Amino acid sequence: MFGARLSRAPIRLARVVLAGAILSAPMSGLAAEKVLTIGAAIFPDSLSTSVSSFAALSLNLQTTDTLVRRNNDASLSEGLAVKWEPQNDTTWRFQLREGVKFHDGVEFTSADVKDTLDFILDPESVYGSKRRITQIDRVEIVDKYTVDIITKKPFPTLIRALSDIPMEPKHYHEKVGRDGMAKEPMGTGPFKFAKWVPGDRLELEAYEDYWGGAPEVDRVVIRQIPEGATRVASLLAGETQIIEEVPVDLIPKIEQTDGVEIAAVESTVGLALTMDTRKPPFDNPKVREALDYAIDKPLILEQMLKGKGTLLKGQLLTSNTFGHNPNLQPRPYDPEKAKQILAEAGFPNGFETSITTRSGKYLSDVDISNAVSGMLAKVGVKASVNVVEGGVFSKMVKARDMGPIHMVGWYSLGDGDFATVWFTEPSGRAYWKSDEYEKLFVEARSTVDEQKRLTAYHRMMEILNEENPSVFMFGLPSIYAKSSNLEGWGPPSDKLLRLHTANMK
Amino acid sequence: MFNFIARRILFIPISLLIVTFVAFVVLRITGDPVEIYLGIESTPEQVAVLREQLHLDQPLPIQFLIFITDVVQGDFGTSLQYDSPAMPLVLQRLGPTLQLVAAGLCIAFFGGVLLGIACAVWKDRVSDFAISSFAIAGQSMPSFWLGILLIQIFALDLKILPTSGTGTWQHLILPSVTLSMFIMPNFVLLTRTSFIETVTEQYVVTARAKGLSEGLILFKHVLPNAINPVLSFLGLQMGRLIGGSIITETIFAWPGVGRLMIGSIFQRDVPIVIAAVFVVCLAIIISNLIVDIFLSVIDPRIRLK
Repeated sequence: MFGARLSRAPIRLARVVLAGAILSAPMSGLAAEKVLTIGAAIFPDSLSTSVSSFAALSLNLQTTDTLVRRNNDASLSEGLAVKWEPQNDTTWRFQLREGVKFHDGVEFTSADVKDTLDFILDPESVYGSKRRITQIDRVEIVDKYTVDIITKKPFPTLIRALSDIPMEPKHYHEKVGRDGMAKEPMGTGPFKFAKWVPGDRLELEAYEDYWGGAPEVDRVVIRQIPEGATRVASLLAGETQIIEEVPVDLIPKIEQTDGVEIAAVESTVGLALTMDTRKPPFDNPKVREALDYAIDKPLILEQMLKGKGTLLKGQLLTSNTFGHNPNLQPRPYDPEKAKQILAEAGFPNGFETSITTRSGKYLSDVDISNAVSGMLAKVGVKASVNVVEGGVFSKMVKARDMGPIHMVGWYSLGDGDFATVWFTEPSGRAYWKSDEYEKLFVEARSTVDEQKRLTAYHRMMEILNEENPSVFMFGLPSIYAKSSNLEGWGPPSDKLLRLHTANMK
Repeated sequence: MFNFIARRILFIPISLLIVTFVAFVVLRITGDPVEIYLGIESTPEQVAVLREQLHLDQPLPIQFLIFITDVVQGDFGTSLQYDSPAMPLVLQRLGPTLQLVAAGLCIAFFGGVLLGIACAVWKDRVSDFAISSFAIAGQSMPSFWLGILLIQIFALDLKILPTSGTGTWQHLILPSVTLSMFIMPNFVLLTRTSFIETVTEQYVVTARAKGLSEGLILFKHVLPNAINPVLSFLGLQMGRLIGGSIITETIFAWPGVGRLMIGSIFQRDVPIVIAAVFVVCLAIIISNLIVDIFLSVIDPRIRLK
């Protein structure tokens, strides 16, 4: 309808627009400085140590230190304290490292320890890790480098709990307050705070006077990249050198690409399928045992977790945890035996049930549930998978009704106490009850004698193995990926980045 | 016109009140923030103390009254997860979202209108068919898929753009293009239809009879008349774009308010969610108002009453 002249008008216009949109050359990197960039999966929206989630702590611990340092394999070593000993059942004495300086040059002393812990223990204060140390009665300064922590009862997990609590400077706390500390964090850590863009990045500079020696890199940038595929792309593009939480389906892609590699380690999270033992059919221990035989765990591990992570050895605790019983073995996959036990228990034709799970809470949680459902179908148990959102899940927890089977992961952070508590009555999370287990749990918690504790946990693992309140599935992996020329860094079992010795060749 | 604007501004608080109320009720009845925040390790005493602090022990209407009284005084409450005031947390994330939405809207509008004109001009020819098909294909592409495809092509294969994040203007290109594809097809098809209708009008025939050049007819006579429905549509798209930006922000690690909102919804962090909903709603209302005013300026037939 328009003439040829008019038809050219849009073309001319398009040309102008295109000319403006032509891309300039790609950005040039900074060659002189060694910058380590990390793609993190989750970020807190505040740098306050009060948040205390693993994601928050992973950032906090770049600029701060703890009295007791936890390592990548969940073992403990010296941090700002060089020695700790029980004086009696309820008093621990800590010898502090001397000559440690905060980033502003002020020396770290016992006054800072007392101020930090007193703040957390104050009933008025909100602090995520508070519940981990509420058994502390008071903190007493002995001298400049010696502190006593007095607990209400024997408190064997105090040392491990302290490995999650960053020590903060008293003088800075008094000067700028908690809000100021969250805006511009300062501590004794290997890196100094430089810049914080919420939801985007934390920038850090090397602290040359760090007591453990200056870091190898000049600057660290921790970026939040929430989407897994984008995190992987950023590593492949060379924008990041370490990425967290590699999506399981992208593991082969990284394994096939030169210059990048998977760095995975067993976490301390034990994934379990817990059954409601109050109601039939799971009130019958035979039925629970049959389910354990019916699930081909090695196959699921291979398919859904790409072989990362480990098979739980017929017990709740992962092998890197204090209390793990090395004498136990997982039940083999034996569907015929499962069918036979079910028949003996009065269910020759199986039954209908359901598995409650969240989506994305644990690695491949929904996929694993679906695989389990398929395997149970082979022995006649028809299990539907009920995927619920986190808020709904917590409502079900409160109502103490999670459905016949639910998937849950219990972390131990290296000590049996934190995970075994969930099979005791007072935790409100157990349906199953064993008097012997309860007694042993209290015993292990009320002594600082390591050998006694270990014996108790070993027996508790045996009880769980005999009675099967849950089908114990996997020690979930922490799956990271890194650039191959990055050295001095390994994947942490507790998802806390330890970057002090990281270096790029 | 003054009356019109005054009345619209008067309605803003009412709209905001309704939106806030709905968001508040939905969040409260679907989950308990205290249970989620304190986690399963909490003691009943801790739960009770925190519930009282947050007035969760009161009936829902009372809770809302307490909340809205604070909001009127500019206090949206303190985020439970972060122990800091909600509004500043939201505002510092609003800038990146507005930047992304503005860029996406510009690309969608100008790109969509240009392609739409091209379709109309070459109606029923190959290019019309190609562009229309492209528009329909674009509309049916999910943004997370498109976003990852663009990252693959431009960041990994061609290596000319960064994969994600912020910093330079190059960082803005992929997310804003992804976001714009969300609504650009609508602009293309709407412009095409509107142009094809307008060129049959009497005044276009008259203009051509006067011997005006075709380019002049197109831009002086057809465009101002045909663009009206497109502009009204633009005003309605703000909400959709902000909704769509949540996915785009997640794919491209863009530090916007959408991601903050999603995280807070899962935590039932009511102060942050309400502050974010409030601000986003305000932005949508204001942008609609601006579009209405703008429409009356370019088309005097529209009287704002």
